[in-house]
Amino acid sequence: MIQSVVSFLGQSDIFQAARHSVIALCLAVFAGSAVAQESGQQRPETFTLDNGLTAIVLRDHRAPVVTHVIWYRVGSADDVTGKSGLAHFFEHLMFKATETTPAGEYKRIAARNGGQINARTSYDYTNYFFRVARDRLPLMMQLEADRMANLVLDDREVFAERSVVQQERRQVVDSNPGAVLDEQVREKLYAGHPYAVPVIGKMEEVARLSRADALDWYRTWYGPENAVLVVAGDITAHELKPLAEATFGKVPRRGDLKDRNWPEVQPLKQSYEVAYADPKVSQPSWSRNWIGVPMGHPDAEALQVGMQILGGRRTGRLYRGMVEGGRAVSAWGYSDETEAPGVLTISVAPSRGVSLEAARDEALKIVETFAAAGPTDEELTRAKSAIAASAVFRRDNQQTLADWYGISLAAGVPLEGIEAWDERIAAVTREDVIAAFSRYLIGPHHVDAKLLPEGK
Amino acid sequence: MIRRMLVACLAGLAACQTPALPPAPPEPPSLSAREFSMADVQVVTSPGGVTAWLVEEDFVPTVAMEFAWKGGAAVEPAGREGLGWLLAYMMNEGAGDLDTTAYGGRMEDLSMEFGCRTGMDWINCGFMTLTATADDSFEMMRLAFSDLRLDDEPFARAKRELSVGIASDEKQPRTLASRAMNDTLIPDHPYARYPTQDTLSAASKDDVRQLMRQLMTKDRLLVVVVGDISAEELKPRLDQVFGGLPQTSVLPAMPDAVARKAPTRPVVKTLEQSQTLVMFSGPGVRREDPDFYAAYLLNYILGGGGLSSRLSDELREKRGLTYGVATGFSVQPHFSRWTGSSSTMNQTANETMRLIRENIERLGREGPTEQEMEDARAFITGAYPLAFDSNAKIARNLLGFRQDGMGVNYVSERNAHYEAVTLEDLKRVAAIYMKPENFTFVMVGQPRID
Repeated sequence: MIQSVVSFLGQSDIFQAARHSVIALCLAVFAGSAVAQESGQQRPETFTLDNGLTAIVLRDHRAPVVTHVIWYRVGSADDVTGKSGLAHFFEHLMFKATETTPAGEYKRIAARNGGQINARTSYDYTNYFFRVARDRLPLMMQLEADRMANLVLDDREVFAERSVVQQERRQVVDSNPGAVLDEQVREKLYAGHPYAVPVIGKMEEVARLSRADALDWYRTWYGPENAVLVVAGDITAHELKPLAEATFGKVPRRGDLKDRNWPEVQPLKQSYEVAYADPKVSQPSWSRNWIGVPMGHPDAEALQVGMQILGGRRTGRLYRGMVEGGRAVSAWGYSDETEAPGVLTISVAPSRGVSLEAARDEALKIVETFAAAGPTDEELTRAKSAIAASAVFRRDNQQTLADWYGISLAAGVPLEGIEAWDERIAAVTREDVIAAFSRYLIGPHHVDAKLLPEGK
Repeated sequence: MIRRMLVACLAGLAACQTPALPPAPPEPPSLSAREFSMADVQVVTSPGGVTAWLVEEDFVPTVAMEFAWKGGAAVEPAGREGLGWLLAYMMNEGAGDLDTTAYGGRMEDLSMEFGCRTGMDWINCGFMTLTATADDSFEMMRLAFSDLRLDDEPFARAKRELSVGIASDEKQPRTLASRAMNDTLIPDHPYARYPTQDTLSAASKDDVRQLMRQLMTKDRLLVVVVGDISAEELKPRLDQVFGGLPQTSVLPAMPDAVARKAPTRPVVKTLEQSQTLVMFSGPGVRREDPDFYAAYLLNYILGGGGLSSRLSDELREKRGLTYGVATGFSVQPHFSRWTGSSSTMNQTANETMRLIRENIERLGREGPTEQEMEDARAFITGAYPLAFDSNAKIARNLLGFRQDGMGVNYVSERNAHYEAVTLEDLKRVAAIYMKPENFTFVMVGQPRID
């Protein structure tokens, strides 16, 4: 979970006074679905350019600001064997030169125009976004289309950026015991599937990535027919379409787009336990991980609703049974959906004086009880209304809304499927939750993970 | 060649688009700019005397409220550090007839978010709810501020959580670096205090109630509301929620912190890892200082501009020494600092520190270029509307203005302050603050020092 998305520019929280540390409680995550459509709320508008680029417009005219996100349907799961980290490394290189724009100009022009920029790579997709005042949108779209077609890479720049990515890996993964353990979990959970390999790549393989690898990647995946454009904010499809035609519309199809030949995710043939001990760990924790469902799967909503009730913060059963009971300092669960089947996780961090094994057994008992009897009517109603409200709150933020649509569209979920999400949530029954939990959590094998202080 | 080009870009961006390059593609159609007043702020005063800034906005059927009291962890009694954290934790853990389970369940039923956090100088609270449930949600907050329960179970749970946080802080590079910085610069000031297992054990419910009475008073309260609510609807709500608070209280006098002289060598805290966190801190500008705006532009040029700064160019782009380097201000009522940090490999920590010192020195000696100033100004003023594109963001940003002591006119006048800064201002301010000998460096990791 920790390194499922890797950013071009790290999140900078450096200047928050480090007065107190608050334990991060993981909220149930509902990835990749859609927003509830309120009555009177405008539907998203869409169009497709002749070269295959699909665009979606999410109108919000409160401020003269737009959020522009272009998603390429290529992620680390498409990394070539032995070249892990290539999708992410290439994402960094997209900020170098084009035939008409020197290296570094993209970000400088964006900054001079008051724009905020960043990019992200996940297993499934790579996206590039900027937020800018609406009258600067044509200029920025011109730059974005330019680097879709005309990127120029120089060996020295490639090597310097590769070093940046290696630093990123040291900072984000190697110095973070939880992230190191997460890599070990995925290695077991997804053996034989590219989801087993970290997005940022293995250090020794990143160290060998070359300019030729990057250019090959660019030619293979970065065509308009492999892109989805999401623009949220002060704009209409009527205004965006001529802009898109004049910029992205001039980029020819690559013409020979490859299929994403991912192997099927195989069910585990046995259960595993992985453990990682590090002197930087002060609080031990335990998690159990199962293979879940892909985005758009018919069981997705039952798992989301069920995980909200089981693993949600504050009123979730794990929290109430273990944290309020004094047996644990945190306890949560979530269902993560990706283009291929995602991960179901429950996690518990025991209180002082409670062994990891005892905490594990108590957490599992709560899971088993829940899977057998399902939620109460009150829990079911509460969880559904919380999820419905989260869709209203999401509409307050262009970036969040653009992600909501973009992640699903990039994974191939059709717009109608996204829009029917709230109805599917509303339709979830107690029996659906019981059936889904029995199918995905109780029967199948799993990977257990222990994070330990060194010396234990 | 590449190096020369980068230097040329820094010196003058226009010159970078050389005629040797192929012609640019034709211009796309233009989009009109739109007149925009950032936020239409009404100043609303309730019959009971609570003043709020209100922005009415019905695009999303929600109400967002951000509010804060001046006074935070710095006023905790010595030996009771952590009380402010416990108070903030308990604010949504039960009130009136509702115990923690009932209160949490009711918040969820109302689709209401409400929580507080205690900083060194402020307690901040955030509230968000649906228009449809706003009446009941305001009532929930009234309960919390007038009849907080502090039951045994959530209080014990809060202590367990903080205890775990205290233990993990002792292994976090960033916390270790901040503490080493404070211990070096202002060891005797309340700002240098932090909770320990002992101070946490000593904290009682009575202490928490006492701190609540001391900090949450009507006279030091700042409120901002954004969303689907009118001034007339809001006024009685303000008295409902805050009417039961004491009018005022006496806070302990807080001295200004006076930093000790910066040591010539870095302060090193050993932590077993492959990277070193390099943190640095020099004298900063007070928010009310007329030079604040010039210093802010200067900081953007040095390291505040994310990917577009001198330090990012030198450390990340040219040398690949780090994933990121950033500088900023730590502006506290009694201590203002110019700070920054970067993570790099243990064997390049020294080189990183040297490059940071050199760049500070050069910026102080030469000042920035005209182009750098214009680029910084263009970003800082051009990105301003981005702070006003969501109700939650508007509420947070407006509260930030109020906490900075700004009046309602600042919302429309903010950019003019940056427009007024001249290159002479920047050079003068750079000469005052960009002195490497005044910066203290802390390293956490296993750095190799020459």
